[in-house]
Amino acid sequence: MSMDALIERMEALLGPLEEAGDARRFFHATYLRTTRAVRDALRAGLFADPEWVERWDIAFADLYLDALRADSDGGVVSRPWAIAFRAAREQPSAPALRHVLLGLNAHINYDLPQALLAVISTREFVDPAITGRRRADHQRIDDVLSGQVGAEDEELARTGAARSPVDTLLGPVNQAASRRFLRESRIKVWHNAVALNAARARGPAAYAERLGDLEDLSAARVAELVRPGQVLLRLASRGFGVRLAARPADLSPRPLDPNRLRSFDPVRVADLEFRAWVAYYRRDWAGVLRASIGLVRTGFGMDWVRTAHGAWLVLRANQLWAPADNDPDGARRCMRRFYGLLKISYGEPRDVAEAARLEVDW
Amino acid sequence: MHRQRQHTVQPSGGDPADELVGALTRLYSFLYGEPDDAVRPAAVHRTEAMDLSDRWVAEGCRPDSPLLAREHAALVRCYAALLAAVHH
Repeated sequence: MSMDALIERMEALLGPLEEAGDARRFFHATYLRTTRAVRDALRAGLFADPEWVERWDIAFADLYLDALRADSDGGVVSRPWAIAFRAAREQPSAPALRHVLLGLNAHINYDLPQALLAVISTREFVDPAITGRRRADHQRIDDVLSGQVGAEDEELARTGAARSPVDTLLGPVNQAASRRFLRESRIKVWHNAVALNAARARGPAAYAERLGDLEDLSAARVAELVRPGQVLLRLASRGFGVRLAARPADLSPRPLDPNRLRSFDPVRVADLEFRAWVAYYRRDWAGVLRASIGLVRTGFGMDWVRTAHGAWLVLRANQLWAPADNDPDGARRCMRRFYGLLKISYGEPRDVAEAARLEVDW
Repeated sequence: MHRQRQHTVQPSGGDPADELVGALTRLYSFLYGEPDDAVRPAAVHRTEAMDLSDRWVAEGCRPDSPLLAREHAALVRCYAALLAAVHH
C-alpha cells in the first residue's frame, strides 16, 4: 500500500463516521490531515530515508485502522483503543479535543513502538548508523506534526465541535504544550521500542509479556484522561506518554553482536580521535581520558563499565608511550588488556596479544 | 613507526609514509578480518592526519592553526573509508 492508497482508505472511512455523528470522527479527521502532511513532507524530501518513513507510517496507520475496523465489527480491540472508542460512544458531546487526545494517546503510546519494531529488525536496532537515521526521521515526523498543531486547533474550532470556554482560553497554551508533549513522547516511544526489541530478541513469549506491560500502561493512561477535566492540563502535570520500567532481563549481560564492531558513526569517531590527539600533544591527560571514553563507547559500543575501564587502559598506554624514554612493553600490556575487554564482549579479536602488538607497532 | 617518522630526518630505505600506512593496514586488516586492499585507503587517510598533526606540533600547537581543520577532515575521511571497508 502507498501513502496515497492509505489516504484514500482513510477518506473513505471518514464519510460514514461524519454522517453518523460518530465522535470517533474527530481523531480520524485529525489523523487524516496529519497523514496528508506527512505525505507532503515525503514529497518535499524532508526525510533521510523516505522509503522507510513511508513503510513506517503505513504500518503505524494500519494498527489504528485495524482497531477501528475491529471496534466497528464488534471484534477484539486492544485496551487503550477500547477505552478511547468507548468514550466516543458514551461521551459524544465531550470536547472534540478530548477525543483527539484520547486517540493520540492510544495510538502513540501503544501502537507507535510496535510500528517501529515492524520496520526495524532486531539486528538493525544494534546498528547505530541505522538507528541514528531512524531516530532522525522520527524527529522529523515530530517537526511535521508540530507544524500541524496550530492548524488542527483552528480546524477543530472551525468544525464547530464542542469546545469549553477553558479550552478556548487555553488555546495558545495547548498548542505550546502539544509541541512539548510530542518531544517528550518521542523519547519515551523510542525507549519502549528498545525494550520491546530486547524482549523480541529473547523470543515470542517474552515479547508478548512485554507488549502486555505496554498495553496495561497505555490503557491506564487513556483511562485517566477519560475522567472529566482539562486533558491537556492533566497531561502537563503527569507528562505525556508512558515508559516501560526496566526489567532484570533487559539489564542482564548478554553477548553483543560482533557486527557492532563494524558499524560506527565515522564523523563522531573521527571527531573524538581528533580531540584525543590534540589533548595528547598538549599533555592534557584529563582531555585524553574524556575523549577516550567517548571514542571507546562510540567505536566499540561496550557497556559503560567496560568503556570506562577500556578508556583508562588507552590513557595509560598513551602515558607510557609519550615520554622520550618510553615503555613500549607497558603500552602493549595495556592494549592487550584493552583488546581483552573487546574479546570478552564480542569474541573478537581472536588474538589479543597480536592486536596489541600491531596497535603499538604503528 | 609513527615516532620514527616524527624523528627520523633521513629514513634508511623505503618511504616511512609507506611503512606507516603498511602498519596501519595490517592492524585494520587483522582487527576486522578484511583484505589489505580494502582497508588501505583508511590507513592512507590516517597517515595523512598524523602528518598534519605532526606539522601542527612542529609549528607550536597553535589553537587557531588551519592545520587542525585539515587534520580533522583527514580523520573523517579515514573512518568513512574504514566503515565502507568493514560494514556489511
